Amino acid sequence: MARDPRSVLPLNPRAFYILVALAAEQSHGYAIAKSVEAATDGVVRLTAGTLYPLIRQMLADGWIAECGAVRDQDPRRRMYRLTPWGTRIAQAEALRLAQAVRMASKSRLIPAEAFA
Amino acid sequence: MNPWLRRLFALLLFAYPRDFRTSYALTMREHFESETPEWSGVLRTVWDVLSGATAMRAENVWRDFIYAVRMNAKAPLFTTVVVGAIALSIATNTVAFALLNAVLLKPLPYANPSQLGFVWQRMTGPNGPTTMPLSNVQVDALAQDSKIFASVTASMSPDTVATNGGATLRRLQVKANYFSTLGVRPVIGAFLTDGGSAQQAVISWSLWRTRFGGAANVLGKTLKLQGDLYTIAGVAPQGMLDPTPDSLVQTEVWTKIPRMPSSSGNQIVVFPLVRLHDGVSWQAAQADLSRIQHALNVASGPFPGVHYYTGPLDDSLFSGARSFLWMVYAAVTGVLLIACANVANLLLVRGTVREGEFATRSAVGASPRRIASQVFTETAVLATAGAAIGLVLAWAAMPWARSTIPGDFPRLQTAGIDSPVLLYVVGLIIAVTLLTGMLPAYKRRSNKTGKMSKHIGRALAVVEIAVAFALTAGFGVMLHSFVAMTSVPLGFSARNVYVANIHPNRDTIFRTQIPPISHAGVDREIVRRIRAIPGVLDATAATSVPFQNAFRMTIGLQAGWNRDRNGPPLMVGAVQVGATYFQLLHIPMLAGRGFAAADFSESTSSVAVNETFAHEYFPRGNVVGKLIRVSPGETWHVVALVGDTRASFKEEPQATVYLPFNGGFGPYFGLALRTAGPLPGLAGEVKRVISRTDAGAGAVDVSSLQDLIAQNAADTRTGMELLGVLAGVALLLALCGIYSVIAYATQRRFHEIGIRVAVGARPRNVIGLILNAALVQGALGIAAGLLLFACTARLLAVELYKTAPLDPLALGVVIVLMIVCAAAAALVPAWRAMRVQPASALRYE
Repeated sequence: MARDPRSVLPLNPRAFYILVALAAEQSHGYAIAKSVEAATDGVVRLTAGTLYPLIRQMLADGWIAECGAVRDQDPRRRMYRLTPWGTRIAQAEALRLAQAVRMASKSRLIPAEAFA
Repeated sequence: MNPWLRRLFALLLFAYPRDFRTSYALTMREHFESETPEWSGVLRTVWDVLSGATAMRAENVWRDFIYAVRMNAKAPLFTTVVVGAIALSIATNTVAFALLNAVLLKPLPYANPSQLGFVWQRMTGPNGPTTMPLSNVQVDALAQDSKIFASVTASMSPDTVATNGGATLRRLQVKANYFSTLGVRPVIGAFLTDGGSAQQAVISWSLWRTRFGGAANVLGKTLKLQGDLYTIAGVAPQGMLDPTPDSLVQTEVWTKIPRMPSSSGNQIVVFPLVRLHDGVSWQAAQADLSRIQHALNVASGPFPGVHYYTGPLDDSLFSGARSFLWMVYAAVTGVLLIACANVANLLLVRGTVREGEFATRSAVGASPRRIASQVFTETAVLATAGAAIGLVLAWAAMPWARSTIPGDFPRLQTAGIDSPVLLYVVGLIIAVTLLTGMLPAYKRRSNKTGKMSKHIGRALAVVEIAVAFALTAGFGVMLHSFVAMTSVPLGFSARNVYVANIHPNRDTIFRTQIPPISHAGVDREIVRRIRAIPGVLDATAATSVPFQNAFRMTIGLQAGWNRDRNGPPLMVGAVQVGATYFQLLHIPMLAGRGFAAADFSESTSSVAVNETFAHEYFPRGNVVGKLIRVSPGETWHVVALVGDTRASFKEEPQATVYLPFNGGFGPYFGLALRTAGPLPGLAGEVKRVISRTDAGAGAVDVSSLQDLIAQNAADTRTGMELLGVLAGVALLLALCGIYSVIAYATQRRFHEIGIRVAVGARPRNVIGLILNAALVQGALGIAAGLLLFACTARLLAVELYKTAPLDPLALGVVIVLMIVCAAAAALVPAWRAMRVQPASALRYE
């Protein structure tokens, strides 16, 4: 796909968190929500009402894909993984945010201990 | 987790579209149940679900909408035909509803209007009852003797009076409790009071705003009416309407009915308006009226055969409008139904053409349900576009409709596209979408083809024929009635005849207590001067002329009036006429002599009678020379027998006595005159002549008798023509419907027909095959249409003259017409089928 991933930026923050969570490992819906919640100290909470419509949208747009059921888990739990296109989007958004963070820290908006 | 919360969440998931629900509901429930229950979290989830689901659904609808617009734009001819048909039928339906709403459906602007009604006296004459208002004395008796009415008031007929600076105002003279009976409140000040001065006036809201600038200090100011000063006591509310027996009128000033000294012997004709106590029925009121009949009769004088009756205001105001407007509404709704059936049919046929497109969509994963909702959205887009255009058309047609509807219905002129009408159009869009979109969408969803769609198409064609039949039958019956009505002989000639009606100046009468026209010789002077107008051949005085009916009088003859037979009491029509009345109107003199100069003296006793009178009361012939005893002191001498005349198209001739005009009846005076030809400026000339004499005349109106006759027929004619146009449109649409169904079915049978022809079927057999299908549909449609017409025919009954609503002649003609039409619609497909070559038909295999 020759499309530039920057054409879909900036992302809905919740969508970005889902992509980031899936970049680490393939996962199912509830696990995604839990890992995002843990990583953000409970600040970002993906409820059932926000998570699954986003998953459906990202499936339809080809950012993520379903993988086959994992043997030792409940077969009703659907596992998701990033597609190459989804990975490129996540990278592009991460770069965009990194740029913004660099700017902010140059302007001394971010205290040093935040990176610790 | 709380089981209630679980259940709530499961229920909440139904907000999502079905396809999302089937894939994610289970996972979402698990997810929700494993979260720690915390009120803020639950509330957030509820919010997330609802907003997300709404967005998702809106997106679906929006996508369907865009797709629908694109699909419709791809088929411009189809879209134009469908949108045009919907637009036209919605436009006519909207106009009809706007009229219906303005005239009939809007509540009357009074407190509890269903408790209000008029009281009448009805005199039973030889040819049916005559209805008359009451006198002020009778109204006083009514208020005193009847306990069933919460309030009894009265108004006179409205008139126009001169005020300061040459302007005129529309005035209504009422009893003091008029406003409280209606239940309206003054904007400022007070309404009329019984005890107060006779010179009080209430002014309308618009007069207050325009002439007095809406200032509060208007109270106590004076207003000059016909030379007398009145003190303004209050201002009536905005939009106040006054009920008169057959209309709602707008008045600018209200004053009290003047007191007539009882010694004068004169009584004032008034319209008694009553209000019932809470919970009292009109039947009970009627029974009470009959109980006090005697007291009212004493007040009215010894007239025989008088009955009093009452009923709700609605009935007297809207009796004419009701049947007409509902009839028109039923007719346009019939046309709308046919248009919907046609559009549904077109959509079905187009659906089969688009089979490939639907197959592709379902192959890429669209569920039948999604495709059905897509098809439904396309229909909704068509219906909405049609309604939008229809609304513009309706808005443009409103002024035309207001001026074309006959019969001057109350509040007709207020009809327009207002908020109830807009709401109604929204309802129409939904109805049209459901009616036209259900079948095609259902077909997509159930994915049935072939046999079922054939049946649906046929059923639609039958419905169209049924509705078209009912409308055409209605038109046929009205046409028959109209021909019957207008072909009866009227008994006189109206060619070049003009009539003038002179309204007396009411205030002069009250002041002088005598009808000014009775001054000796004024009438003769007017007639003499009008005869002198160049171009006028003849003129005569008359209290009433057929079809003008300015002042129709009924005289009661007491028991024993007829010396030969000791006759029973009866009521006869009475007209006072001048010497040349019969020649002028070409009413045939059948026996005896016309009135001579001597008959017009004060002590006259010569009368003429008409044929109906002679036939009813002197069946053995020879009425000329007989005596009629009117009262102990008065006897009439019959000198002539004249031909019957009709007072209007719908009335049979009444037994009538003609008396020589000598101004004795009352303040009313009319003229008939015949000219050599059309005479421009005649009306002005006549008015000038009358204003120069001492007739004390108020308004004078002059009209051509031929116009009056045409107007009398116009009510019926316009209704009939309207129904005719609508029936024609319905018939045309139904023909298109039959045609498309038969043509489509025939096309599907080409293969079968090819085989039939190959094995030896003759063209005759092939035509028979196709015609047969058309005729079966036609017959079913006619049967259903007959049933439909029988159920709705009572709407017509009021409009008909001597014709039964289920008129066999008209129905027979319409049945034959429908059969011919059904056969004609099948002719083209049949002709095509006949030319099918067996080889080419079989090549399709």
